[in-house]
This record gives sequence, structure tokens and C-alpha cells, in this order.
Amino acid sequence: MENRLLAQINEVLSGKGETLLQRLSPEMKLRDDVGFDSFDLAELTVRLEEIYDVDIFENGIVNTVGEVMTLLEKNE
Amino acid sequence: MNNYFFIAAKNNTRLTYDVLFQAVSSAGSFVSNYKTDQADLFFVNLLKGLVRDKDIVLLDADFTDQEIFQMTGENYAEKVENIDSISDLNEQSFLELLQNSKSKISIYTSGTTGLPKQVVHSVSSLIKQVKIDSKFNGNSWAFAYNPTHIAGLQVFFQALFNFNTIVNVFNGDKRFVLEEIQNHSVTNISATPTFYRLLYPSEFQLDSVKRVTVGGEKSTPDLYEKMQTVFPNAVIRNVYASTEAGSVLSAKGNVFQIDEKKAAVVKIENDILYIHQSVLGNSDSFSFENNWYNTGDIVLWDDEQKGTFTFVSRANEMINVGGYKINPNEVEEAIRSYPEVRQVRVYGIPNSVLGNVLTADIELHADSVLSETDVKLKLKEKLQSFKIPRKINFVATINYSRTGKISRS
Repeated sequence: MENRLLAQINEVLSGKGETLLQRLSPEMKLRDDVGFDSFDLAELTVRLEEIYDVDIFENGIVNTVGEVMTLLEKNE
Repeated sequence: MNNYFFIAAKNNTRLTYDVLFQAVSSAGSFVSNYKTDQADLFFVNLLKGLVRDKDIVLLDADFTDQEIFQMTGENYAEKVENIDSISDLNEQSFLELLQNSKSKISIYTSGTTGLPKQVVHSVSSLIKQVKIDSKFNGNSWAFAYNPTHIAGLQVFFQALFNFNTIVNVFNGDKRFVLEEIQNHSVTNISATPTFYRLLYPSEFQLDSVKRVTVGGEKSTPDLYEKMQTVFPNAVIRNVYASTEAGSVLSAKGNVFQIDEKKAAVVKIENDILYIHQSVLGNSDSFSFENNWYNTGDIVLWDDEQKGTFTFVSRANEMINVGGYKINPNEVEEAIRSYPEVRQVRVYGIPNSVLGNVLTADIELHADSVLSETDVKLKLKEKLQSFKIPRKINFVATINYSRTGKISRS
């Protein structure tokens, strides 16, 4: 799970020409630690929706990597 | 006046109105095509020009050299001119100079075919909606729009003419925006639905906010309920505005009304909204049908007798991504310029964060190789970042509609 999420986050970063992440931890914040803006978050939701068929922002804002993983695990 | 004109925490800027008057009135230089991502510098330069009747072209800070060349026909170079000082500039003379300014302000807006088109506004047309009243004294505005776009200019002038404080939150993240609103007791906010969606859920309520305006995209009723929990004391209004005309109609909730006053300038025919020539800026690209401009925005009557209606979709082909209107033709043209690309289709996929995410299907020539990242990084040289598709699919064939147009649905 962690690796598949990491791959999608890195896909977003690579499209912007930014340095890829080596690993994820649950407490990492998508905005502050990963450096995502709203366009990046939107792109991530589209990528995750294609794989897991779940919209991580459907019920409001998700802040951390751990929150995303919890939502994805429910739908795996 | 020692109250603040502009606060930008991101670059540690705090300007009082006294400092603003000083900066605007002193001799020095003015740039008629200034390009900067610092809103305070942008506004000071703009005002220097307007009080001296200089024409000005507003360019987004992130326009690429290629975009500017295609729009203006020349390579970008700052056009600097010397300006003389203005003596004894005070509150009253400052406002008078602005109100009587003969400057022409050129704005670029996403066109319906190809590149952004130029629309020229006079200062008087931009400030016609501004209300000056002592009841607005002491208000402060969260500034959430791009300053080079019409919505940003209208917020700017509304605040300026009442000597209100402008707190810059444009492009800020959730925590920054909430903290700035709280720290500076912001009373007014005008922004897109996307902006408000990102504030929800909020860790705290923002009691100081009295008036909240939503515009620029189609909004949904559930958004108002969510906004009310973040801004419990605020009146929430919805506005319909366009780059061509500025703000035209306002509504409580989703239902707009063409009342007797508006009937002279707004009408609906065959479910399409028209705006009268008399309230538009000037552009070579406008075409009129008996003095009426076809906005391309499709509406649905709520009650035709009362003149009430809701929006079905805004401006036919344009894709609204977080309040930015993107013309798919422009993006397709840029992608099609690469030799590896045989055909391309650009469209939006519905998304809970931005409304839409810009997506491209690309059909490559046989034996050509191109990755998603390659395309995005190449496009950075050609297009503003919001126009770059976030999801790129390589497909075997692109679908065409029966009329031979690329199918975007």
C-alpha cells in the first residue's frame, strides 16, 4: 500500500520536475511536508481514483499520508 | 493615513496608505507592461500609471515568453518610462485622479479559439460597481484572486476606494489563509468555490468575516452550508462576472434574477445569456448580435415570469479548473506542436478538489516515444502551469464526433 501510494505521489512530483520522495510515513502532511498545492492534490485524487475507485476528498479535506492510506485500505 | 493598505505575510510586506501615496506621487519610473508575482509592487505600479493617465497592459506573472510573443506579436521586454512627481497627493485628490483617469487597462482573457484575447477596459468601467460608504470604514479584505484578472481588480478597487486594508492570501494554503483571516480580523472575502472548498473543514470559526462572495465557477448548494459553518456571521452572495463585463449579476444561493434594472443590460434567448454592449469593455474579438454579446453561458429558467434562472454550464468549451478558465484548443495546439504527436484531445475530468482536472489523450506517431513527464516538462516552456494537463493518457486512437470535431465528452 505504502509503495503504491508513494509511486503515485512521485508521479505527481515528477510531472513538475521536482525531486522524488524515497519513502512515506503516516504523519507526513500532503501540503506542508510533501509540498502539494491544490492542483497537485487534485491530480493525486484522479490517479488514486483510477486504481482504488475512491475519491479521497469526497468527504472534506484529507491532510496526512496516514489518512489517505486509511481511506484506501478500506476500499482495497 | 496610517492604516494599512496592503499586508502580504509571505514576503513580509506591510504598506500603509501614507506610504502608498508617497510611492505613487513621487517621481521615478513606471512600467506599462509590468510582470511580477509580488502583488504589492504590481498595485503600486498600476496606481502610478492610472493617476497619470498612462495606458497599461496587465500580464500574469507566469505567462511564458512564448505565450507573450504569440499574444502581443513581440518578445517581452519591460517598457519603462520616467514619471514626474505629483504634489500634495492626499486621500481626496488621489480618488479624484483615479475616478477621472483616462488610462486604458488591457487584460488578457482565455479566448474561445486559440490564444487569450485582449480586452480593454477604462478605469470608469472597472470602478462602476465600486460602492463608497462610511459604513465600509475599517473593513479589511482577504485578497484571493490573481491581481491581473478582472475579479482581482474589482476587489482591489472596492477596498482601495474605501481605504480598506487588503490582506493577500492568493495562492496560500489552507492554514495560511485561515490564520491571515483571523490575525487581521478580515471582514470581506471574494473568491472562487474552489478557494472556499479548500478551507473546509476549518479547525476554527472565522467570526470577523461579515460578507463572503462566491464567483467565477458554477457553485453548488452544499457549498453554502459548508461555508456558513466556517463563516457563521457572514452573508454569503453569489456573483456572475466575466472578463468582458466585470460583475453583472449577484444572487443569494444559486438562483439569479434579471430584475427591471438589469433587463436593459442582460437577457436570455434560447437558454443562452447575453450581455449588452453598453456594459462591456472593448475588444476586436467581440462580435455582437444587434448590440448583444453572446456569453456562451447556458442557463435554465427557474421562473421566467420573475426572471429567475440558474446556470447549467459556463461558456461552452472552456474548462474550469479551480476558477481558471482553460481553452482546450490552446492546450491542444501546444501539444500538437511536438513532432511525436499525431493527435491530441484535451478535456476535464470532474474532481472534488478543483471542479475539473485537465486531462489529455495523446495519440503518438508510430515508432515515437514520449512519456507523461516528458510532455509536462516540455509544456512548462510554452504554457502557464494551470494550463498543463495533470493526467496524460497515451491512446491508440482519438475519437472524433460525427461532425469531424474532436469529441471532448
